[in-house]
Amino acid sequence: MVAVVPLHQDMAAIYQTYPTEFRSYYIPSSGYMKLVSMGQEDFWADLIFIWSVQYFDRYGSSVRDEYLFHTFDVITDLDPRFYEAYIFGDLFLSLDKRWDLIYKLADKGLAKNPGNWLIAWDAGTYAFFQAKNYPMALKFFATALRRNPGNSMLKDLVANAYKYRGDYRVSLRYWERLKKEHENQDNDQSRFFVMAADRNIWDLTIKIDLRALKTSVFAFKRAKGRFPDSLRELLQAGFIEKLPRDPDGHSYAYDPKTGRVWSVTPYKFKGKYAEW
Amino acid sequence: MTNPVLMSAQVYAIGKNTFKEAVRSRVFYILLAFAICLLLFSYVLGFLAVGTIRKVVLDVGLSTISYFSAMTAIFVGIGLIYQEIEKKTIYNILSKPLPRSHFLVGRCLGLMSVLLVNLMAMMAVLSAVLVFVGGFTPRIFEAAFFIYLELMILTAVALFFSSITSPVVSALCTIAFYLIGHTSSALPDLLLPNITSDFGKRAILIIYHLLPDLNMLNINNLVAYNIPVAAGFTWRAVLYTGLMVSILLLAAGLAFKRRDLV
Repeated sequence: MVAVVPLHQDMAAIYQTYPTEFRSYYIPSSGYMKLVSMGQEDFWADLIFIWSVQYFDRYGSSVRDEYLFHTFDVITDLDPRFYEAYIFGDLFLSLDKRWDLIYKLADKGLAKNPGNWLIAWDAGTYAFFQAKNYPMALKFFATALRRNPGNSMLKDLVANAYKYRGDYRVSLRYWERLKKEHENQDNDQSRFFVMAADRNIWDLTIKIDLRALKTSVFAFKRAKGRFPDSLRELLQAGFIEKLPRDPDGHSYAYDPKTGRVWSVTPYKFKGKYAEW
Repeated sequence: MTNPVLMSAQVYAIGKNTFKEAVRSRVFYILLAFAICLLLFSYVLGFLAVGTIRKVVLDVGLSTISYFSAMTAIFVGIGLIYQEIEKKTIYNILSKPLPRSHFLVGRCLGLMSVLLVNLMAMMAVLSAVLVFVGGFTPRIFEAAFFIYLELMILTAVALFFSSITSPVVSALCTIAFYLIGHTSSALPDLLLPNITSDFGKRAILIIYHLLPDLNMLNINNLVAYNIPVAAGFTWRAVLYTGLMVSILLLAAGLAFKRRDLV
């Protein structure tokens, strides 16, 4: 006993010097786990999930995400229907901004659960709100909407994803449809969707018109070597079919020196919400 | 020609005696106590899982019942015949006008009754825990039915080995059967991708179909996610179990008939 205590202290001191990156628990591969689980794969999926929730931040930072992904990969191999594993896996991976691994885990969940839309929605929110990867967000929101076609929240998200991706016309169509679905309903949620649709339709109409006018102005310049004197000259020269007016009925303003076109009517969205 | 009424009475008497003997076994109560503790502990585990308490209780509960029931079937079953021979009480029984096969069937049915009572006790505890967490579903009894089918096969296997060899070898062989039964389903997935020849692929599939696949009798995942069992699967599972048990009892009967008990 006299020798054991100092020996234990020495060993503990040596252990503390090991790099923290490798002070990790190893989860075996899913093939191995399936064999040793003796048919009780759900049970082992639950145990590994409980362990991962308690210890997900134990790994050293340089290996954390690969080990985390491996852990949730094994859990979802053992129980592919374990929805919470996909959600929490995405959550933990988002802490280190590993969007690539989030998308990979979500794609796996969607392939193994053809009816589940929540996994797509969850991954889409990371892509949209945090990664600001709008094409990826659109992919996931569109998948969620295909699997749950009646969900207005998903339509709202898809419309926003199109908007932020720059597909103003498609986004406008979604907002118009959403408004039509809810304008005759008398509840808080419908009122919210109608308000959101109105604001988006307003701003998108202006943006679509400005884009069309800018394209025509610069097409005129390429053809004639100068900017048009007015927007009416664009119409007369056949570079535009008709001159649009903004949602308030005003004409769009134009500077013939710079070719700049803008709206005198303010946008509905202000500040950071207008950054699209 | 054996009188069926007499046969039934003999089998019933052996079975009843086996039941009484098994419920006095220490192994039976130790395993049951461990299982109940683990079932109650599943409630605690559920809290650690963040929002999936019902699923964890269900998974841990059904797995515990499956594992411990299987252990009971194996460790009580391996001594079914051997103990009678060791204690020399079998001479007294077989000196009566009782065919050896009736004795085997009686022992088998007796153990199956014990396992049924054991299963019902554990299901009662699991039901109580599920009611407590607000996640009770009557489909757990459907899962229990399939667990019982697996236990019937394990009982017949344990009885077969018990009738031909000592408890140690009998335990090893029955456990090996259990392991093979729960890992054989991985055989095609593991080996087929690495085999290019058609002959090789067919051989693997034949071996797989000849080996028992006890994983097929596990519907815990379907119950956890409230997915119905495919139409026609239940009667096929019952038929599969019936055939396996019949073949094993037949083999046990033939082996035991030839066995010199002196």
